[in-house]
Amino acid sequence: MRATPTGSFSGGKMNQMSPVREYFHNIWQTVSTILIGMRISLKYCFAKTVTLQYPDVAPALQPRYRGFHFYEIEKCIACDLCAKACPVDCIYIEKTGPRKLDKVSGIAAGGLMTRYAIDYAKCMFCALCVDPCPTDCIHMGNIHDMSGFNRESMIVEFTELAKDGLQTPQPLWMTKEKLPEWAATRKKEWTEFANSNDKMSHDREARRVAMGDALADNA
Amino acid sequence: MSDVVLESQPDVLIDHDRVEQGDLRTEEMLVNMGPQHPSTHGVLRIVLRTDGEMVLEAVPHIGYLHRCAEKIGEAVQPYQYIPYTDRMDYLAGMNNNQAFSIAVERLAGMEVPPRGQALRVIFAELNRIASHLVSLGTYGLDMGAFTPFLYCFREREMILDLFEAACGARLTYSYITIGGVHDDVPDGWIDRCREFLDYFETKIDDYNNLLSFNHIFIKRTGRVGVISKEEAIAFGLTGPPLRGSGIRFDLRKALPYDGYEKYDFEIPIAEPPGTGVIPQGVEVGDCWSRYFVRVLEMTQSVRIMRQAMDQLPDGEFRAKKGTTVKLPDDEIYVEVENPRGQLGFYVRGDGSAIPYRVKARGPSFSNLCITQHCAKNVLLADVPAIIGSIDVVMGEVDR
Ligand code: SF4
Ligand code: SF4
Repeated sequence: MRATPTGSFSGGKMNQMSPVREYFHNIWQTVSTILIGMRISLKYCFAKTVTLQYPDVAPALQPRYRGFHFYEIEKCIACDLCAKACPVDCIYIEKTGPRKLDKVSGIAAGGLMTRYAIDYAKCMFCALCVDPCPTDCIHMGNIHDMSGFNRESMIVEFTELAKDGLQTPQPLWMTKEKLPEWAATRKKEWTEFANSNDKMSHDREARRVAMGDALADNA
Repeated sequence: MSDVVLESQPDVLIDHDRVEQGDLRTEEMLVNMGPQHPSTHGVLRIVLRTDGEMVLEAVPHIGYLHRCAEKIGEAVQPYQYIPYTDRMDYLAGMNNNQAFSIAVERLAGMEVPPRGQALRVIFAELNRIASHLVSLGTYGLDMGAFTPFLYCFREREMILDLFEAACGARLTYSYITIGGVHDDVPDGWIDRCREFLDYFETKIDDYNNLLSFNHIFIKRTGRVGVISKEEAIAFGLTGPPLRGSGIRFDLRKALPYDGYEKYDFEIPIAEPPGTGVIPQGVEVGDCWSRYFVRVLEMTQSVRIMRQAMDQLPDGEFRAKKGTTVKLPDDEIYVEVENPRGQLGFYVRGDGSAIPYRVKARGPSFSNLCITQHCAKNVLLADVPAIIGSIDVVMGEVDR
């Protein structure tokens, strides 16, 4: 024997009603409870909208936001601790010899950093690489909107960036000459972030000269 | 479809009453629901054996999201495994982090400082609210109510903002970690959180008026997919599906962890219609009760969080020896209460820093197995109601 559908009609008190009364009772209940719901919706019709018109309006990121890394090559001693802590092994480090941090200038010297790259196709932004760094030279940044056309383009070579005095990859829109308004705001935010973190050194020109030229000579 | 062999059950198919009345027998048909179906909450595939509008059998097929999460646990250190636990039940990352952390801490004999414990409770409960909000919203969506979904997500966004302020991520937090929590909360976070709770409490009434007590919603979910107490225990249900069947069992009370014994809260269970606000037309163990248990749990979570914030002790938030821990040659199995039920982690150490074996017991996985039992001889439209009320997250079913 086939069971009747369990979600069948009525129940409880309504069983005692006549079918006609039950029919109208159902309609009344439906209409009245929907009206209660409509009143709530109506209340919000006149409230401020909470939807953010991304990308025309940029979301306000929290200071601890974990985005694309900021990396200060001049402080890095190539100790591999970050690469070892990374659960997905997406940090690639190559050096010509051991590096040591100069206490006075705060700049690492010794061997050359020939490669520091992070494969963002693998990275899961867990920030585990930030904790063990003895010289505090890798940080989580505030860039979240970047894309690549192939897998190779998702590997960010921080050593190449350093030659231009950069610490973090730039999204394509940021490199454009003429920026729309929203992008200009984001760019300002990005620069401010780089300058606000007092753990970071800000002499970009010095970095470019110190690292970029050295790398160029080495090449 | 060729891989699915269903044995024929002529007894089910032949409706003797109708045959006697000279009615014709209709053909049964196999229908694939999912893996890409909006109401299966992820990549769940359900093979339905239907006869017209009737579903005679619904067989869930899983494995579309398998990512070897347990095997990875045997290759990395416990603190490196924390980000992977986020990705199991991606709606309740904090609770997953907590479960694995507790397992490793107990195995390694590590103490979590009181502030770390209190922060864990705050974040776990906040995540429980966020997870239940998704559950309520999408359940309304399955039942054809779009508005509650938007309101639920509005509040969830606020919770995610709070999470982002504390740990920098909005979904895969990795915040609760071995030995405590990763960072202390930023200045003013507790006040922001209090503000949110004050705001949120008023919104629960909105959800109730919009969805819970809506007559159409009650008609769609009341008395559908009823799971009796015995069945719930026999199938090993945990979490809201278990409490929705009227069994008062919650690990936060039964086996308190992270200082839950210090807080005063209740475990809401499904009540028969007529008690309190429970409307007519529902019964204990049906889809509506499972849904409503979640609404009630949110108010309890708010209560726990308030107490935890009032009593928040100062001091360390993470045990000194936090990251690399040597696991003794021993094993442990720990369960904690996840928004979806009991999430357990089995960890076996072998004297090194990398576990020999990691095994997870996912609540969604265990709860999903009741589908086949309770989606039998129901209407086609009741299947999404039943699946939605169990609230599975496929990331954790398949792991
Ligand atoms: S841990 Fe810091 S210093 Fe060591 S290699 Fe990584 S970034 Fe450089
Ligand atoms: S954020 Fe995590 S995944 Fe990404 S490079 Fe750092 S440790 Fe590796």
